[in-house]
Amino acid sequence: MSNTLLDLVVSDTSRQRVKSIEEVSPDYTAAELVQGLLQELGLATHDHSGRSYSYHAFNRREARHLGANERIGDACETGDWLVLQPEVNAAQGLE
Amino acid sequence: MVTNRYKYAIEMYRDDGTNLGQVPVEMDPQPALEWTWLTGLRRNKLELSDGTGSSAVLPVWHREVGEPYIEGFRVTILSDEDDGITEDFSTLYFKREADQARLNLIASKRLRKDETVRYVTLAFLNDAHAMPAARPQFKTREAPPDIRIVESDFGSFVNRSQLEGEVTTEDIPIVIPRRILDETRELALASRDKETGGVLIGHLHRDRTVPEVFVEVTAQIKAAHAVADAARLTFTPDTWSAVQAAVDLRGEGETWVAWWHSHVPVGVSCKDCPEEKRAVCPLVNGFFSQDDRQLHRTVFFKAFASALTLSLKDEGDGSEITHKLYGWRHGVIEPRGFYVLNNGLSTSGGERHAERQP
Ligand SMILES: [Zn+2]
Repeated sequence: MSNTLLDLVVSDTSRQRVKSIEEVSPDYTAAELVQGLLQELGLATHDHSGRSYSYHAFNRREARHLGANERIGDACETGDWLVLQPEVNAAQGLE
Repeated sequence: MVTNRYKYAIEMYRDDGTNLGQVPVEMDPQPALEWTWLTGLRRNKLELSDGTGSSAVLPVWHREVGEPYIEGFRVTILSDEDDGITEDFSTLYFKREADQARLNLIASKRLRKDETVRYVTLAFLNDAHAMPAARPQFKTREAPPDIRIVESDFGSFVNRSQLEGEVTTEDIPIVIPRRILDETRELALASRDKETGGVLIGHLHRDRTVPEVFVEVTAQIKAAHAVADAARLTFTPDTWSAVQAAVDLRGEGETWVAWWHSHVPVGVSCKDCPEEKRAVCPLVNGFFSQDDRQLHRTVFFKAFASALTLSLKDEGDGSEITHKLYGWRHGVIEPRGFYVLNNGLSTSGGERHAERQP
């Protein structure tokens, strides 16, 4: 469990857009951090009908998804790489 | 940092010139930024490590009527080494928003279904200093993407391929081995009543002598942990993790270059549709739905990324499938052509050397 600020790497699910984030408070929950990162990474936040996408943060070091309410200081170490992964549909039906 | 200080709106007109009013549009600059970035890479003006971080989006005012009407907008990405790259985008970038605005007018009975409309696009300085929403505070820095680029001979790929459909000079060339098309086809047939799909991985190649950057698909990874029914395929976070795990296990340094999915036969809904109508029906002949577009924007936002759809037909023994490729062109998703690499040929012949970004 960490109470100091963390430096992390974050990316989209394809790892084709990557950012370093520094001095992250350990007290954020995974959901709060994910919400703050979507705009930072230029990722789509909602589908065409306005429904919000649900994104999960995948910690590469531990190869697991963080729970939405997990405290970043408990779930991550400095240097960890979080991958933001959405749940998305390919659906039939023309506009 | 992306500088985009304007907000955009669409003004709709009836054919007789009646003004139907203005609607604000949420301008998504990312597809335009990515297109500009790829153009810079293809013209040897940008490197992979340049990213889209230092860029500006500015309106191009209308030549005759001037501000606030626009002909389009201009994106500039600065480079560490070079002058960077500038690309212009027309108001066609806002076509989908205009289509939606038209549908809204019809829904509110201000426009008849059979009426056509014209639209013009406007831009205004966004001086309303919106209170930033409470967001986590941290410092950010752009880091190099997890992509490598292989220096190759473009001609050696073209010589072993057949062109399918039309590839415009604007389109980044995409090479797909025939065996991978066959593989997706077999998977689509096997799950006939349910949509199925996956991710296509491969390499980004660069031939500096042309100069050109192109995509080679090297493998297909079927979506695991996806939820499928006849009209929907849901890619979950576990799907994406499994794809990346497969890429890492292969250890070939491949990246995600496309995705594919099938459309099941439309069956009952088309039973009463006359033959001649069916021949041109997009449901039978391939289409890219709004959900498909949004998935592409969400996960496959890089301008080199494409999407392969396979449409199963009802006729005969049910084995008839058509495929279609869609990709980014000027920040808009359009159907496009590609090169089909013949089976049984090694793809390593054209490679000079691989270079990974630091
Ligand atoms: Zn679809």
